[in-house]
Amino acid sequence: MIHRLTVMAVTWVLAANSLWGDAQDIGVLRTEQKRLEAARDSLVEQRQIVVTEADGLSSQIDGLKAEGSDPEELHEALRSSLVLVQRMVDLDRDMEALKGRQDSLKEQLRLAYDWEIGTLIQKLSRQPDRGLLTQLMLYQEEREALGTGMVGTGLRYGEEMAIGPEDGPEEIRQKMELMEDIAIRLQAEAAKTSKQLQRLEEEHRLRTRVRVFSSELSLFDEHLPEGRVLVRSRVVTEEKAEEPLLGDNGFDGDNEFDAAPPPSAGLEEGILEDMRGTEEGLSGGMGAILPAGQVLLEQRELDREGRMLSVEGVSVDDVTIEIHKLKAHQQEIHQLEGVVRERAAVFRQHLQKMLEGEE
Amino acid sequence: MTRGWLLLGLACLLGWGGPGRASTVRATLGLEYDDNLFEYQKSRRSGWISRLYLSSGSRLLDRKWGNLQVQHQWGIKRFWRSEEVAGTSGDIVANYLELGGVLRLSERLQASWASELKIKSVQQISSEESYLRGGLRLGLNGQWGNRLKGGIGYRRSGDEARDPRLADVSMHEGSANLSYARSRRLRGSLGFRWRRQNYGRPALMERDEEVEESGIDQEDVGREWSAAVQVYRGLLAHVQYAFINNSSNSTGYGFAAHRMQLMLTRHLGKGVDGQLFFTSQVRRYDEAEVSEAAEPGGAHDEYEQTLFSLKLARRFGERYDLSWQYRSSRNGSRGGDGFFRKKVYSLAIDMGI
Repeated sequence: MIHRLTVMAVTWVLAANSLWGDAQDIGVLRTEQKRLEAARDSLVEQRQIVVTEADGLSSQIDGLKAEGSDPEELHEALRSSLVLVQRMVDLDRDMEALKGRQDSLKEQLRLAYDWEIGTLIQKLSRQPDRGLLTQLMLYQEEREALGTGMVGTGLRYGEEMAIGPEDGPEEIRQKMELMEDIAIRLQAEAAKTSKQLQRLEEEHRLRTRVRVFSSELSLFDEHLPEGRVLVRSRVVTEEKAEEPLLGDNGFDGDNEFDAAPPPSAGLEEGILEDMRGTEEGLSGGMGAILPAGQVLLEQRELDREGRMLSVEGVSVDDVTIEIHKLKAHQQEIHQLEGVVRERAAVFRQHLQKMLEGEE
Repeated sequence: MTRGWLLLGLACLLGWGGPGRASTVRATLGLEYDDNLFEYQKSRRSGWISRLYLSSGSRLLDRKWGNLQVQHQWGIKRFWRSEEVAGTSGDIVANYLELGGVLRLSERLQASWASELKIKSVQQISSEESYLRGGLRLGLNGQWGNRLKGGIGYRRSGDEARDPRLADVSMHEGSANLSYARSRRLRGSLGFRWRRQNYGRPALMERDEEVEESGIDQEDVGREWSAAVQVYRGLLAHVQYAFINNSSNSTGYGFAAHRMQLMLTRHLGKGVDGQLFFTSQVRRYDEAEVSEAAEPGGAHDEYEQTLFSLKLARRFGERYDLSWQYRSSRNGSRGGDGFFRKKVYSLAIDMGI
């Protein structure tokens, strides 16, 4: 129990200290990052100029030495070279400091992205929204581009390590083993998350298949039922074919429908004029005898207002959100694992030094 | 000429929704064997059909307060043999374009809209229908807690039939739905739709035992109640039942229908996914006497549509899918000769571009 509590406490402290800082505005940090990059470029340029000058001066000094010319001139050249060396040292120091600031800024950006991603995931859990999802995907891409490596952690953990002066090798070994144990647990958690992610991606694929299938079927109206449509016509005698009473649906009894269907039961010595195509085309059409020599013919007609297949509920959005949430979680685990492993390595190093010192 | 304009329009639409802007583009190229190409009951004729389907979707605008998106589908089915003995073979070209967006009014409330345009053009195939459809959808969706969602919607659409034998349909539709998600993997929903359709053809009325044309257009009022359940546990299952009641001012068009749809999808192993789809609708017309006189027993007062499909698909690499599909259907009146059956076998390659 104590072991578990210790693990939880250490995990929490690590996470709080190393991962959950005050998230700053990404925009401000990005601007600062650009400014530092510009400053770095300027320093690189200045250094290049100094290097070129130094090369030139070096050639001049070599020439003066070879010619055995005025020693005063040679001393002047050497003095100038010392100034150049000093300038180069200053520039290198500035560049080192700048790199430190850039690393620190990169870490702040990581924190800011993690914070924003966490906030977006919370919002998306409450209300799925395409816009927020797109923003989340964008942040995740930018966050991935920043990498998972921790910057300057060695120093930080050196400061935060709870290795007191009274700690002996045994205590340090215990702490190191604790760190390694946490790392193993995190690794297992990462593997579990990876499997979950695989399952979610399969679900996403299956849902997408449903949508593709239904939209393709709907486009060609292959899912629509046929109903009946009634057309009023007139019973005519064999000798004299009259025009149909009505031109419902544009029926005009022209050549398009010139083939007469077989007489229906009850239509003695009469034929029906105006049917759709051949006998096969009339498969849905049978007549009903009506008073006054009129007849209602049935035809088939697609229910064109039938909507698309009812798969509106089979949405991929929810799964997409889950996938992004899980990816963020996985990233978090990897980061934490990296931190813990690094810390364990520092503990090991410390222990090794201690043991070497004892010898 | 019309065909030329259609192709030009299509090219523009493809260009608009094409890879330049699209975030997702899919193409399916397939070959089908249909054992009843022209949907006849007798003298069935089998044959081959080439099929090409393209779909693309793009988000034109994406902000925290809302978005704007376009979706486009285009497909062609080319029959290898003609319906008439000495005729040319026909084809079906369908084009669907949807432009829509969402406006977030608050954290839990959003408004949506979509305009749609569909053109279906049929050449030399009597069993298919050509039409042009335009429509507009408006919706308001809200969420209560983490599990309950609901929405109301309005849809206005109009069909212009490209065949003079067919009706032009104008529709107003109102809808409401409520869904409860116990988790992402278990969801249930209830829905209601009310629609009024004007067919642009004279309504038939019985007067003094005679059926006459009235001076008004046929107008149907349909009501649809539906319930659906969706479950995912390795297997994705979606089941929906709907009861439809249609009343009409025209004799012979009132009906009640039951519709059932089932979709099962799961990974079968070795990279193969299986999909099973089944839908069945039974429709019974109110005015039995319209055809009872012709065929006692009212065979043509009941219509049935059944469609069964089995599809196996395997993914190759990141982009390609190879699929095989078997489809069997029955459509038309129950009993008698007023229906057709067909079986379709298809093989297709699907590409994500």
